[in-house]
Amino acid sequence: MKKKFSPGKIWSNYSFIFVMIIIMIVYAIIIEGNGNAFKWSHIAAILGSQNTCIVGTIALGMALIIITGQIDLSPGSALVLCTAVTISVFNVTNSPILMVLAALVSGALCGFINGALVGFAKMPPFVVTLGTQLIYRSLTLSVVRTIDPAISGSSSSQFAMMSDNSTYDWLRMRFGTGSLRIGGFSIPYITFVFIAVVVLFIVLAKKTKYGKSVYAVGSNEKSARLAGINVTWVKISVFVIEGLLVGLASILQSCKIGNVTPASSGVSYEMYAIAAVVLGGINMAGGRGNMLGVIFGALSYTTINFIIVSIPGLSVDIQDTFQGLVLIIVILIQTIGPIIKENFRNAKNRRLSAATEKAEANT
Amino acid sequence: MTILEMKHISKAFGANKVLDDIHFTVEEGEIHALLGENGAGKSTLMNILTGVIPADAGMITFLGKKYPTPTIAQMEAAGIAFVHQELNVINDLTVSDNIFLCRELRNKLGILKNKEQIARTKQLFESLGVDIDPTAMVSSLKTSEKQLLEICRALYVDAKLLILDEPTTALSNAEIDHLFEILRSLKAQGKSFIFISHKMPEIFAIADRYTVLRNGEFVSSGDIKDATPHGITSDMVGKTYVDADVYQPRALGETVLELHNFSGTGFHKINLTARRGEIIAFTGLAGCGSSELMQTMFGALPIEGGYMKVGDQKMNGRIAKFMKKGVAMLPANRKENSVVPDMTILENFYLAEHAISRNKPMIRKKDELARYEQQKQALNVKAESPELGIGSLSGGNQQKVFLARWLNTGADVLLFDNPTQGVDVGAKAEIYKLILGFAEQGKTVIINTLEIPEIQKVADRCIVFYEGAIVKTFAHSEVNEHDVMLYSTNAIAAQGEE
Repeated sequence: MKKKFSPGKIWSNYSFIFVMIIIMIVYAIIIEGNGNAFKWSHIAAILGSQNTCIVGTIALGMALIIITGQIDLSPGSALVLCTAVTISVFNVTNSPILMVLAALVSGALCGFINGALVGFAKMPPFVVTLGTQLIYRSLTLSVVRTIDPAISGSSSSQFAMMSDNSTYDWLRMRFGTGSLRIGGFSIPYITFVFIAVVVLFIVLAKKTKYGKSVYAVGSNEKSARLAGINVTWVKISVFVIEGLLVGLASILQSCKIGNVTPASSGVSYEMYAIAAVVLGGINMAGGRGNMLGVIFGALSYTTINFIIVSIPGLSVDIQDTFQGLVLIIVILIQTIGPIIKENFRNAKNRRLSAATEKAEANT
Repeated sequence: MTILEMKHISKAFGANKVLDDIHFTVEEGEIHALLGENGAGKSTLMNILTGVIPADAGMITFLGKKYPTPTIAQMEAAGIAFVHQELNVINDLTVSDNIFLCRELRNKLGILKNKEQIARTKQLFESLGVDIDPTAMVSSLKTSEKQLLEICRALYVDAKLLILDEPTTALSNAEIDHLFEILRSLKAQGKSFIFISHKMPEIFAIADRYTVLRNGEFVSSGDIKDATPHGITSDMVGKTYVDADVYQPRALGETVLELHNFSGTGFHKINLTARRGEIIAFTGLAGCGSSELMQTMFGALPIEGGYMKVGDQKMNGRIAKFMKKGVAMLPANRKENSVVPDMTILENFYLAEHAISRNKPMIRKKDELARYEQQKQALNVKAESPELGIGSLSGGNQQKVFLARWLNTGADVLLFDNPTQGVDVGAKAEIYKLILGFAEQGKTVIINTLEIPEIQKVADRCIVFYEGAIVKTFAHSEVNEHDVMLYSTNAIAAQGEE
């Protein structure tokens, strides 16, 4: 049972690590080019950024959904809705436990609505989640203008954690924006939450029967069903799991940012999550991909942001262009690589068969 | 007048000779039945005729012109049309759009002349006695109308010879009558048909002459009026050698499976019991309902009437419930229904067992590997490492992995739908031995197969299906290719009518 190590295999299985390293090196060069020393604090900033932790958390659930061969366009909007609920519950009760509970329940409910329409009503996930994307955000928007500021914690079209509450300092200052010092390194607390969830999901995907059934459904739905897997239930469950993660992300959003603006927060987060999943090497057609890739995908994505911000003379507006370009280039290499390889092989075979024909003709 | 003459046609794929010196002629204004078992070479011969694949030797003469190396375009232009078994009409276009597909009538700007297309379609239909609205969407047509539409499309380009490949498989009796009426009137207009079918009553109802192929060789040809269903069946199956070495009768145990008036998609009111240690074979032509029956017995298709008992419990619900009661099914079409292509051999192996052991949610790889190794030994699976992709195995070894998948669930009732499909001869023999071994261990095995030698090798009983019902049960010693074919083509009924 020897495993062959070939550079091609390592590249195709772990390309997400190389992608991140390359992007990280580019970032280091630019920092150095600006005359600053590249330090751990730069990396810590990437680790603790909301793009890594909040989008990364959402991306884990997105990865499961994509592995089953489906898609979810609603988590950005669901995040806004859940954070609004989370902050409101906090403002009213001042209880971290109830706040966490509210976040998870509202998230799971958002996910279940998607899952039930996809699973029971057999609607296409793209259409269902496009619909709920509009609904979840618009519901929050319509509430924020009329709600009592004593609940929303703000009078300016947003939900904000009320600093009068006794647990506010602990949640926002200690947990949300604080970090743990280990030796000379400081790592934000919310990064630990994200990493814990990543580890949980790697175990879920690799070591549980449920995880394998998710892959099986995405790889060949008919075979999965005939092997006794309840395909409908698997399809619904991945949306509920994504909902729970959106709930968790809304706790991180509440604690780290302290507020949510329904009109502008979380816009395009679903797209960033999909991008992180793709950069993480997970196949959009379903059935294949490594959960570990998602963390690297999320980090790569955040680093690209940081690179653009740190290049003097580049406006933030051009950010998405670069992100789009990197995404396209990475995927281009992944898809076109095998095609080029195949062409080479075919050409070689043609040459070989032409040579044998010649040899036969000569004899 | 002879319009088509195929002489000395031979074709080999590598070392495998599929056609050997075939002669085949079609007269003007006749319906010529081309007969033979699966793999007899009918489709290869037709593919050569239509220019899809080149022949190694031989000459085709059509309407007096010689075609040594025909191409698809040449044969189409010459007036040969192939109406395929799977309908090649486009559902989301109208009837007239389908007729004019790829030869649309256009004006100078390239805009479609829709009105003229509809008018011409109407004209065509009137001349043929076909009653279909040219402006209807094809998706709204009945299957028989789609079949007719495809025939009309061939006739629009003035085909002289139409090849109909099992045109009646999807049609009801009334629809078949309608189709035959139109074929007869076209015949009167001088069109010729090559009619490929397995159903004896139909052949005796519509064909004028017949040609039988067997194993790529010409066997017989003649007028239908001089032939009997019995004689043609004999020509089709020939004398086949059966090595019965492996089969041994076993002592059977108590009844473990009972079907009572069991009905579902494609079959109705099936009554059947199976005993511990028994091997039963289902057989019949494609579409006879035996595969659907098997799927329903596994919970993959809904039960529509009657009941199925395993032990003394009536079965219903999802597949996993059937699995928990010890029922397993190896589905047909391995690639489509068994293989999980992105998973390793080990993952493909343990997948089904997990569906019934969800109370232990974690995978213990050590245990799984031990179980895999045990089955691998027992079934003699040739695989290097369980971590390799399932695609790295040959068809026969893949099939063994899926047999192992189901044995691993601890099932007592094993349903195998076409278990030797896409498996080479050596692996086939091994699978037969395994099946006999399972019965020896006290498992009940039901196999669904079209291959009669397979039945002779393993089955204690053979149940023949025709159009969703059991028409005959043979004991092991009574099974022979000729009689089974007689019942599965319902040639018995055709003989009765004479």
